[in-house]
Amino acid sequence: MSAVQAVRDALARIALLDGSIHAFTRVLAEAAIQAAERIDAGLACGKDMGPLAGVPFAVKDLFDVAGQVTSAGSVVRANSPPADTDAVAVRRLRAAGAILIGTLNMDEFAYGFVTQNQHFGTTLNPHDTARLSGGSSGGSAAAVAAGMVALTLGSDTNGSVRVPSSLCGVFGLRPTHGAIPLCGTFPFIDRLDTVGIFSRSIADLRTAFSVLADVPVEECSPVTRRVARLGGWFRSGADPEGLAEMDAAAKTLGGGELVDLSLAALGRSAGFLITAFEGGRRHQDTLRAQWRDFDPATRDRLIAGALLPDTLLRDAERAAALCVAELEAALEKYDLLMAPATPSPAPGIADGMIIMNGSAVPARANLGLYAQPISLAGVPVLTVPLARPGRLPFGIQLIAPRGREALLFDAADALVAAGAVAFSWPHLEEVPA
Amino acid sequence: MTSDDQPCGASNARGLDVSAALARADVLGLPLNELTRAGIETNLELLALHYLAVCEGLEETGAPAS
Repeated sequence: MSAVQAVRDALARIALLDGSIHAFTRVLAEAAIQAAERIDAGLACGKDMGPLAGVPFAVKDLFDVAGQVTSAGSVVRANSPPADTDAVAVRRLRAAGAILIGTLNMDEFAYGFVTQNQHFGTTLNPHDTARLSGGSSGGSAAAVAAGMVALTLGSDTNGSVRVPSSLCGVFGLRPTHGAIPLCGTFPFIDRLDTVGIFSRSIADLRTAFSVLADVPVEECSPVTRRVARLGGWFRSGADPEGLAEMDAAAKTLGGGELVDLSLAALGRSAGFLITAFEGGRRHQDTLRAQWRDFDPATRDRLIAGALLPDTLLRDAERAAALCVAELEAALEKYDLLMAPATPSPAPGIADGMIIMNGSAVPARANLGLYAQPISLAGVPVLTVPLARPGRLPFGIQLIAPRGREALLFDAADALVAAGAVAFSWPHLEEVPA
Repeated sequence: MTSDDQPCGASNARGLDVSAALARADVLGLPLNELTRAGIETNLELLALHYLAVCEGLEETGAPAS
């Protein structure tokens, strides 16, 4: 298929579906067609146009795109100047031949797990449009799940790649912190922000990561893989069916010992406080001048964070360090840890509740419970969709030591080969191309 | 972030003085008014619960909070 045809197909699918999904905040049709024509012309001359030649992609609306205003999901930035240049991640994908189709919806300033945005709307889950897509990179996950594009970029601070990957049933990588440059992305919490990738296949993810991190991704030997499941905090309240399926998946990797991270709850609270403190300080100047323009929910969270005393941050950092040390010790003993990415499949939008330990609890508050404690360590995490055709998606986190993304890809390939993990198309109006 | 988003094991908010935190809004020039006060208070109370959990966790490790 030509690049132009791939772009036209993507644009047609966006036109068909995005009116009901609301994944995109901006579609750059004309520029995409022109870029595709250049790719096709190069290929016709026998040129190597890159490992992603002609692949349509889109980015969360916090990546700079030359000539566009980076909204970061907020009208607060509506009068900001357009970006002079692309973010490094966008530039690297384009240099590898990928074609930017548009920008994607998110929680305002990436502070949330639901992608319910007062300014740009709620991104709906392609598997059931009465349900949430997750967040804050909800547009990125939904666009891939619905087949609008093959590849998207998001960001993960406390779980913003892993939560929507789980709810929308796609593969989502939070790489090692710093592996992909953040330059040209709108920041949230510097020490935690990580560029992430969404796709429907491990092969695409592997290629995109190699391009974005500018490193070769070697194969690993399955023989050396030591696998464990995280217990305690990471199983309490989780969907029983999903847990059973994750346990079965662990067995296919030859592992399954339960490891308890006793400081996970402490780490979650520490991460929660660090995020509030630093997020509040980042935005306090804008809050003084433009507080009326914020989504009230985001505004009040950020102001509360800005009011926290400095001593609190020091204590939260000490607590976070304890949690990280415990996780790192586990990753010295095991190559791969497994845990649910979310407590449950996608919650309904109308009630916004999920079931934990038999009780209904607010989804907005609990979707990130299993993702947040892992974020502090900066280790790579790959969320993979359990194979459950006909049912709502449910993702699990594969966690590895820093710099071991290849091990994650290899483990995911093994899970796919065993039939434990698979992308399933949602039942939308059109059969996927 | 909602009032339901409570940390595990936290039972009250003694680790953070919410009133003192609210008083900082005037100093910092942040809007504390009829539109924002309730939401900010709710979020501060939640943060206080998380801070309490951190304080208790640090105490258990023998390294008490500041």
